[in-house]
Amino acid sequence: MVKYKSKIERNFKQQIFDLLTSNNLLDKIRISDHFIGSLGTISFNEAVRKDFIKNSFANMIFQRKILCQFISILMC
Amino acid sequence: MPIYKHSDVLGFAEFRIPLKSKTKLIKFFNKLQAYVFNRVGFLLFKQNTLEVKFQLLTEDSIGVKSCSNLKEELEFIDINKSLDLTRKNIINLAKNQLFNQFDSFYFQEYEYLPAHHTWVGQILLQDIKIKNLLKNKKIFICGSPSNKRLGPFHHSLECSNSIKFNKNKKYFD
Repeated sequence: MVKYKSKIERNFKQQIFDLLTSNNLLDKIRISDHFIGSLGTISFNEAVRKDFIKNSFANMIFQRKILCQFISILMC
Repeated sequence: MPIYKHSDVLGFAEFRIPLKSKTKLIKFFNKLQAYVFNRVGFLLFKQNTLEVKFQLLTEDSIGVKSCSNLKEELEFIDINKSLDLTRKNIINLAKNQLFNQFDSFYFQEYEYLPAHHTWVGQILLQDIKIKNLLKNKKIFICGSPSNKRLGPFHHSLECSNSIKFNKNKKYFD
């Protein structure tokens, strides 16, 4: 059964391949692609300042709003 | 941040929390923090730097040929023999735009990963033999190829939206 299935698959693959090669379709095929990678680094502050990163929680901490509240609670 | 060539969008640069670290624990913590930030938009600890990642587009630059050893296998080829140069030029373009936009941009060249998303099919669909086979329902297409062109952004959302808004159109019998 497995052999029979693989034979059909093989024939199908071969037929598709023959179709592509016989019509010179292979030479005509053009593929578009995306390429990805890393370019380097930028400073976090500049990204936030120029509104490329919205980081409310970190800003709150570093504006010391939460930190001050936390310390004041501890002091109480 | 979009990257332009004249007025065309070629792709984008995005800023991510750097994951690299020598210590496994810090690496794990950075990954966790990046995950939370990417999903929710909250950053637990302020970073000093952000990593600049890019995704850029090269259109119709890759061809295929059959492998000499295995007749059923195909391999990608560079049709103009200048794909690396084209990609380097595009990276330089992105680099210059980032230098113009950010004073703190520090360029470090890393190897890129090609063919992250690929798209092909217009030429196959225009071929008469393939057209007839499709018309006579001898072959069915599952996914690519299609008449769409690969844009600078990921095509999944666009494709899913076009299917969603054309509910009456039959894609499969």
